[in-house]
Amino acid sequence: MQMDGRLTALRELSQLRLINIFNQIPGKKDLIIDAPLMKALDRITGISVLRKHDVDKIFKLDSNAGQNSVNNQRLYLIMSDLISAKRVCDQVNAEQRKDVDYHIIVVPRKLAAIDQLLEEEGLWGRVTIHVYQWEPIQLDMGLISLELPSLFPQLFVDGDQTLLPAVAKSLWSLQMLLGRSQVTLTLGRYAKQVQSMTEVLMDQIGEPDKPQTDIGCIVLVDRDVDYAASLLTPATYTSLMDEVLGIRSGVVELPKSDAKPDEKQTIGHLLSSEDEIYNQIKNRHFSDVFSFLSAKAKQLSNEYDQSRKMALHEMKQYVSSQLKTVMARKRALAMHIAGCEAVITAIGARFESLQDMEQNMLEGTNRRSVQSYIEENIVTGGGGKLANLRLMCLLSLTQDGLFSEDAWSLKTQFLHAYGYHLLPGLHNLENLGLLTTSSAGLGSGLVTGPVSDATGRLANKVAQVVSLPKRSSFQVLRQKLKLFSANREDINLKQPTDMSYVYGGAYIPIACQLVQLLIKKEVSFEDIVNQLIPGSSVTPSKPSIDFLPRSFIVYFIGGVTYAEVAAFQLLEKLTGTRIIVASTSVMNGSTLIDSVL
Amino acid sequence: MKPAKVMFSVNSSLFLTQFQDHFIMARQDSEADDFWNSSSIKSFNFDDEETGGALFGVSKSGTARLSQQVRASLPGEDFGGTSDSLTGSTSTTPSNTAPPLRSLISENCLASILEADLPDAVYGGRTKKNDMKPEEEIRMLKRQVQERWDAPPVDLTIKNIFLGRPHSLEPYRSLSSKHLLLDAAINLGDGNAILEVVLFLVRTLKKSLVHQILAANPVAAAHYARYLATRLQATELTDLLVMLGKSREAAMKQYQLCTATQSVQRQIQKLKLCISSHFVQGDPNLKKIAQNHVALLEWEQAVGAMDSEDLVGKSAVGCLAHACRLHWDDPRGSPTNPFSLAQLHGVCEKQVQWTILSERASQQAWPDIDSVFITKNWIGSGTKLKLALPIEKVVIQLHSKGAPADVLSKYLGFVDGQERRIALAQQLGCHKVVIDGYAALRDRQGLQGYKATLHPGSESFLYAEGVLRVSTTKWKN
Repeated sequence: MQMDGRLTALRELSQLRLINIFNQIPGKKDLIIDAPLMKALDRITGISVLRKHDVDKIFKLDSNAGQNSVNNQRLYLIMSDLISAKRVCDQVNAEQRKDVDYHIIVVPRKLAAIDQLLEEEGLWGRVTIHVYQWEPIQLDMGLISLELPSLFPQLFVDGDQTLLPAVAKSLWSLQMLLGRSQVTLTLGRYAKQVQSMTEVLMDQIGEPDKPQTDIGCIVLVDRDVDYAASLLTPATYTSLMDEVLGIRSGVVELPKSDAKPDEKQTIGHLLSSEDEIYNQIKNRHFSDVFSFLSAKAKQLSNEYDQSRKMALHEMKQYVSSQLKTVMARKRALAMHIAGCEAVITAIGARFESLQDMEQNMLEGTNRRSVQSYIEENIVTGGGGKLANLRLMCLLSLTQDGLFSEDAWSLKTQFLHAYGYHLLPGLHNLENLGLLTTSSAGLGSGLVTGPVSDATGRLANKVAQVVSLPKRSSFQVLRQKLKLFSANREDINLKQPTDMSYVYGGAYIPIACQLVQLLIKKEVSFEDIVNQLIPGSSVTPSKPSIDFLPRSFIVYFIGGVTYAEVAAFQLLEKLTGTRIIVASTSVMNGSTLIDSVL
Repeated sequence: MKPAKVMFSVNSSLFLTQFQDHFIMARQDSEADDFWNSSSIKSFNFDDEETGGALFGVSKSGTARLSQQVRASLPGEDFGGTSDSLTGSTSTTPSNTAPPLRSLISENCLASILEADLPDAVYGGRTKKNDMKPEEEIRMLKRQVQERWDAPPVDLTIKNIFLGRPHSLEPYRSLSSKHLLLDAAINLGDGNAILEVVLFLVRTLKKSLVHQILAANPVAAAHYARYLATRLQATELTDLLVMLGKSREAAMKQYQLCTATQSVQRQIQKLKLCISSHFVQGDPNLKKIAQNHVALLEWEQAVGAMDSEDLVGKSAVGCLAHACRLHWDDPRGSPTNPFSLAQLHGVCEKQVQWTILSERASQQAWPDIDSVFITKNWIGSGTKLKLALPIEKVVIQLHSKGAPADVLSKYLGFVDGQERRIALAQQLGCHKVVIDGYAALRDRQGLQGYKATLHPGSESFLYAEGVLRVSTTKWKN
């Protein structure tokens, strides 16, 4: 069975594990759900299943959720963090109801800090804690996500590793389902830790017994190994929709054209490859989408014309067999056209200049004009807060930090335009290694030490060996791994043969390129560990030279972008391999930055 | 029109009625009819009609038209979502055709996954206890009692935390065992285990020892710092960060806590305190920003009260815009005067100019704009532009604010190079500037071509004719 087919078990497993918790609590229950969990939960279970297991009323967690509760078994489903737990404690303490049994289901882990909080609040023993971790959610073919977006800021800004075991656990269940991976490659320090935690799980709670494994190779990647892939402006249909409208748990919210003033102004649309139109455009370069949609509209209109010439009995037949699908396709079509519209409105005017500037940054050219482009954007409000920070970060990342006078001028202008309260946010970006100041003056590109952490960590070793004084460590890495189109001037965006098409030819994400080099046998696992990526590891430590994996799970710790997903799906097609992209969440440059402000 | 949910779930006779309704509607609605009957899609004009706003040759209006036509043939979008959805807003759900679970995973693996949710089981919890022989159970309980008092190996305890199994840290009473426990937690990398051990250390060791251990273990310190920040234990957090030599970090955390304060008055007080304790030493640039923040909040309060407008939370540029709008004529030196405000905050020239331009243009106060941007030469003849921004952006902004032709012409006059000027004027529909531009280039063909695009008999058309007739012009073509 194909990996994708087997992965459908994930949803059922998640649902089963949730039901097991409900079954431990007898009688009718009210369920109060923390809002951030709603969308993910929607992908795991439905109201009818909850009802079958005695869930009566369902509320969103807010200050008066308790008041509307009617049953005396009450379940709170919350993220395992102190703030959510405190909200529940406050509600329970405020109510003073002796007749209610309180339960808190924490997602994804039980935490010592929450235990301590319960004790301090005098609720120890009064409230029963349950733990629930869902399996990775299959967002679409080839893409699974743990849907824990808070992992990124927690882990990479604050260095809090509380959610790492959840990643390990999901990696363990994936292998219980698909078989043990033959080789595991880790890129980054957290990846390494997740790998060893997964081994503890195998050792302590069970090992896969599948004789023939589906997984040739697992690649675990820390998000900070490649920030450029998330900061660059992507160009595929899905990735631009995510940039402009935001896709959450695979659902995009589109403006409703016929909404009444008092109702919700948007309608959620599930992006699934089962939607035949979406399946054909999801990874297309945006320039190749609208023409497809108008052709599709034409085709549908012809089919419709046919149906109008039908006799009544034919029509009856048509209605019962065809109409449903035709209407669904039309609806999908309308939705995707609206998606295009939103993208063009939001980003059309800036797109080309943006791509030019990003190209300059990647190549380390025209630094002055890039600087003034960003300044003018800040001044004239072009693109908005996050887009401008994104450009600043990309400039810093690609040049090993901003010159100190430039850095200060950009930051001040930014704070003047968007508010002084964002100062700590800028500091967080600095901590991430995304908005740093180069200590050296003009002309010396290479910087060692903590100043330019992000690519620095990764590339410094490479850089020191190669020693090209005018190039930043980012550019050295870019050359070394060939992270650009082989044929930039002549790239085919409509029938892409090069993964860089996802950024209009500008860049190939590092993880994608490493997997490509492995598949094509241009590098070995040992090359990656010993020469290319400092801090990477491979298990077993000396895989056979002849071992050529044909199936991969690439798991991003801290989030993956739709552009990277598209690049992997192209690679899959070009090489006839199978690549499942897994991640703790799906994100883009703006959501990444927003999560740390 | 009925919600489509009905359509999808009821028998075909209902379908049929709906379908016929739909037919009738489509016939009545000429636009929809157009769409489905003709090949009108072909005639879509993909030309970019707006200034900007096209992507890869597809314009907004192009998508809008197609969108409207496709939608027009649909029986209404709001079909209530699927009833089974928790959020109740999704228009589609994936078809649920998954094969049964047991065909996808072995019985053993499934059992392991489900048992992992009941970690107590391993230690004789609900599910397994019953299967256990009495002597086994005694042995296990004995072991548990023993472990309660003799510290089990640190690795085992950390694994138990990691797996959610029962455990106790109490047996680790010696300082060396506490060290080992923390090392084991950090080594495994489970943040919850790390924090649990740190909280245990905090509970059982004096502060100076805790700090010593945290200083030697940055990973542990990071977990504790985040815990303190979440619990708003500001003093402890500052102590910790300062002890670790991270005073900048401490300053930023305090700053963040201050800005999260609801009441403005309290926020100002807290910020002042924060500045005096965290910003006095260190980066002077940061101190300046923090001080400006306080000054801005005070300004917002005072001016907001004066103008009966809520200004709190606006950025410096936002306040500058407010000052440009309502306090343009306030004397220089008065704190409400825009230039004084800009100077106080050190707003850069580009930002000041753009704000003045946008705000005064919104007020249609063109002379004010001239007074800022245009200076007379020292001999008093001719004018010069004092501009930190690209002139194109300025002219486009003037145009978007509805500047009259003479104002636009004046600023277009500052665009260097006739070609650039002509192109921009053409984009903004400033015919006179375009015509003069061609004349200056002595490009008769260009001018004739342009004249052909003008409405015959219009003022611009006549003007172009006039220019073409001037006999003294030496046309180059």
